[in-house]
Amino acid sequence: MILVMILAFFILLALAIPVAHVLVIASGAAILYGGEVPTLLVAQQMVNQTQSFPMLALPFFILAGSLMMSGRLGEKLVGFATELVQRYRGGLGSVSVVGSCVFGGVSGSAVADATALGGMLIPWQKREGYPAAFTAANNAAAASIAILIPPSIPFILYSLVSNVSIADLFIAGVLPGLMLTAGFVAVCNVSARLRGFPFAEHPFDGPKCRKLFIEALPALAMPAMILLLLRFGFATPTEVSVIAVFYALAAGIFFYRDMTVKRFGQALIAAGVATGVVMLVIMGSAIVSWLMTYAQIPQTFAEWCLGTLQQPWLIILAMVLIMMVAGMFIDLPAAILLLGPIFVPLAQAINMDLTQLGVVMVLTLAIGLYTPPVGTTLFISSSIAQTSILASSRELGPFYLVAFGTVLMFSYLPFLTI
Amino acid sequence: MTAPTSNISTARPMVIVGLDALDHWIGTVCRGVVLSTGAALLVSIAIGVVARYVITVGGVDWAEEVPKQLFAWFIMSGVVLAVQGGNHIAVDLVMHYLSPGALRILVVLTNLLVCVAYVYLFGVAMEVAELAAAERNPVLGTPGSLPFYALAAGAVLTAVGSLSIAIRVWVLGADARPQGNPEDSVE
Repeated sequence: MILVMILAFFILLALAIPVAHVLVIASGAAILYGGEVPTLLVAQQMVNQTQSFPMLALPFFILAGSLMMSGRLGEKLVGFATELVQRYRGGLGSVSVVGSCVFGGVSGSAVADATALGGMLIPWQKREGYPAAFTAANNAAAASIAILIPPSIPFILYSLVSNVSIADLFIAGVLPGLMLTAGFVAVCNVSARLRGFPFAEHPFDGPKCRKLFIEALPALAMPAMILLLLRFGFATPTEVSVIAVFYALAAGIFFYRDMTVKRFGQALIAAGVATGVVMLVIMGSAIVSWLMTYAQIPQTFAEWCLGTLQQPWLIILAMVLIMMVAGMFIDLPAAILLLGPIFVPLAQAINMDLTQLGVVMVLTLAIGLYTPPVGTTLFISSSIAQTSILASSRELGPFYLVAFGTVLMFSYLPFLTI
Repeated sequence: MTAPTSNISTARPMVIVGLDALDHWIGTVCRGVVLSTGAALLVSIAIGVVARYVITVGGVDWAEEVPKQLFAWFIMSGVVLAVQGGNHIAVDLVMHYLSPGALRILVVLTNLLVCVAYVYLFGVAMEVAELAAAERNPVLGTPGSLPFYALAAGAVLTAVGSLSIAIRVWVLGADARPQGNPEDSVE
């Protein structure tokens, strides 16, 4: 039964059927083939996921981000990031990195960031003399920071499979997000020095920067507010997500004065579509996970790893390598939902903290976003920069170095996971 | 309502005109469900927050039960809209290596497969809904079958959406498939 499911999964995935449908069809086919489990299980498992109160945080964090991003706020955030770093060596490239960090606190989506920021910044960077392939590589890698800065959809999904608190995961995501930001800014700086990239030579304009900071403040404050409310246990993640929506509405109505009923409706429909996409993956993964648990796959895998690899550091390395390969081919939400149930018991067996595993998982799978053959942010950025995937990939070397270094640090230094 | 078409216009095949009208109608219904259930979810959770933290009455029973009834409808409407818009995430590597003719056949066949699978899922969901109808929610008194009907409705509309894509691609070519908007991505 499990073999049929795995075969069907990879064949259908290769045929470009959407991952969510693949999960539903492969698990359904396995149940029909095996005949041991009633087909009613498919509907029961799918509906069970819609009855989870914590999952309601998904649409409302997406809605809050969508409300913030669909107004004038995007320009303000980019303006602030530009003023902050453009005067340094590699500063024009660093705007993409810092921009992704501050955008990430609002949108929570790497692909949305790659598209929105890339559309604004890549043409500007090219015009100023940056090589097109470097701008694409920089934008593709930087966008991955967005999914580490709260609110982060991948962390919500990981909490579903691991039972780790969303608040702990959100807090733990901040440090790797900031470390990647610092690392990628360093890549821009060193590349600019070595290759003579241009930079803005005008002096720091304090009053302008202050003005832009105040204009961007409501957006910059949103992730801080979410973290504070969760950290001190004022409300549950779902309640915080609804508070974030009202906060975004208030910012749009009273501060930016660009909120309309039409915009709210459009943002709600966009959040509905995004929720449908993620939740169908969750619903399909629930059937797959049930079948894997029924066949005792996670326990068998954990026992095999413990018996064969034995050393915890080797087991962690094996998990990282599997995640890297999975991230290259499977989209991030599905990879978390499929690998989570297998890796969580394994991590428990070697006494690895589950929050640490969550950080390592999201960090590692995020590399897949800008790695061929299925790197979504790489495709988008190369397309915006009008350069080939191959040329962009060649520029990614130093960014991979920073990302792998960060993954290894968080894999083997548990104290970094706060 | 779709815009009236002219007899001398670009001669869109009748079957495509019919599918445009059907997809438009399904899209309108799903957008309506997303807007109404989304707003109701937002308001009911907000009332719960106010009751618990502002007027400290410890929560409102119905405000905790409403989301569980509505969330499935919100999700399944989003699922159908994502099918229509091509937003569901796929590993489409193979598509870059196929000729237009082969790509057309692949898209038609895979969408037909999805259509058949979701028709089957519709049947299964209806079966479970009948079993769950006997259960009643304690506060609202609504039957436990409502989320299963949402799954059934979403499944049948997903099947229709996939069939519509298969027919469009068969008639007009692979470029007629919906290809999604990166800004709406959740990755």
